[in-house]
Amino acid sequence: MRIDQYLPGFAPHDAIGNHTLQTRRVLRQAGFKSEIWAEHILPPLGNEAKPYLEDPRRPGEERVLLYQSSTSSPMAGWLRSRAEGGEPLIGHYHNITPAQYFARWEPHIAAAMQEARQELALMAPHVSFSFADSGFNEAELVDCGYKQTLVCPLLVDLEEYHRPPDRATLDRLRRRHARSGAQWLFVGRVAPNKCQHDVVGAFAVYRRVFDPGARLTLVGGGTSVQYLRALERLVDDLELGDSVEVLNAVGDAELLAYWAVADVFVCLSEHEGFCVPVLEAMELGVPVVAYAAAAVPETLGGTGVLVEDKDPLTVAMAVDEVCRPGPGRDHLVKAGKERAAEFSLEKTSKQLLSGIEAYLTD
Amino acid sequence: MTNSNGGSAAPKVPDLGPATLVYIEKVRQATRRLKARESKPDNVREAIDALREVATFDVEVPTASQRREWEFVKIAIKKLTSWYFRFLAAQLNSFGAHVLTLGDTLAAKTEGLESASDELAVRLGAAEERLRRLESLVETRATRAKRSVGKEASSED
Repeated sequence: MRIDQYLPGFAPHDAIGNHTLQTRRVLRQAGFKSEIWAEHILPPLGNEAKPYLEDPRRPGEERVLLYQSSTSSPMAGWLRSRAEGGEPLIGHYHNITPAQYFARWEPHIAAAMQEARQELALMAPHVSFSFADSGFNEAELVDCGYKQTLVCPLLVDLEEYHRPPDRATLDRLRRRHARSGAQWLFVGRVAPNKCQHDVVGAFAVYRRVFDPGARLTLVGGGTSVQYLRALERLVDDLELGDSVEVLNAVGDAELLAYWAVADVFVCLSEHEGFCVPVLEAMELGVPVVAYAAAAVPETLGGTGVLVEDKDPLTVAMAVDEVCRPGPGRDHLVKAGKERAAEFSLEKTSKQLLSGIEAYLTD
Repeated sequence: MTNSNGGSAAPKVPDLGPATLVYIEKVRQATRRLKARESKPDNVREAIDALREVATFDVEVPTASQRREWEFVKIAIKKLTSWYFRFLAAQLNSFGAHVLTLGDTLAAKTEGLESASDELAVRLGAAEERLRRLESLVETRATRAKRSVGKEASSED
């Protein structure tokens, strides 16, 4: 039996790309044949996937098509036509950012997000079963008319986060940390729905009220050039100087160095389908302060500090509490690690496989 | 605000001086300006506000780079080409300003027409109500007149 995966964009350092590779591993270990087909394949993943238009029909071979959906793509229509031709189609939904977040910054991306939502609804009659990363994502599928759904978190190899960090970066950051105050960190694409502007605002108030030496690092490639420029202007307007650094996507070892010196992970995102960086923070013992929206409370599972209101002073006060050494902080770190263990690759792989086996036997 | 102990945290509100309070309000306003907006497709003012945000072309290209050598290359290219891009940007910014003026004018006109239309709708509604009352009065009087003609006829018989 063959279960092939399809995804629009296959890129390194991408949660969905990594999840797809892990899914392939799980399927192959269980005895299924499995390949990855993509619309855009970025180096260095050229050997791991092939262009989906080259995927041949395989008459006579038992086969299921698994769509990793998260954005608009002509692949959706192509898969629908394959399903109409009799090939069973299942999905794994990673969520689509609502268009309103991009409307003022990148109207063409907003249009693509709108299209992606329409594609999601059009796929519903053709998808016989779908995974969703979270209950939040699952609810969207049910609203679109998907009949059989199951929550299965993203497959993330948490062991990777315990590799040694880049030595030179770590030494430099440690020297800097020794001279400065609390180190805030947010990891995620610079995108309007992730609301890095709210993190900058809360950080500005925190520096003014609690810790003038604090620093903020935002790590993640940009999705919106306009939003990134607005963010940089905001940093200037609030007179934050070089206390805020906005970095492009960095290598894994370098990122681990940033995690190693972080005192708090602050996430004020308004839309997340799962939020892998929150899981990373919990695994690495960095306490989390997050806005209670979308799938973030679900991923945190009662650990971390959730704020219902993103007022900069409210968030700054929450971070101040979390950064104080003591039993409160220790408890947050411990609870976070216990929560992260529930998303171990072993557990989530079993969840995925049992979901697929249950679908196949039905 | 909830923490992982399950209960609500009781944050200590710090004692803030007037300068800090002013700064915090500045932060609130600055971050509010970057908030996502639910835009309605027929809202002309919102469309103009969105246009205003992108109507100015900034020639101060960022030159920061994680690699020092690339930063120097970017700075060099910026110095070599800044005169050219300033010339172009001046014209584009002037064009953008005129487009915004046109947009503001059209928006004001549209708002005026909408206001006049709303006023006319109210007056029309009032006129319709008056007409209904008049029709009802005429009908009542016609009915009474028929009845009194009928009574006179029967009393003569």
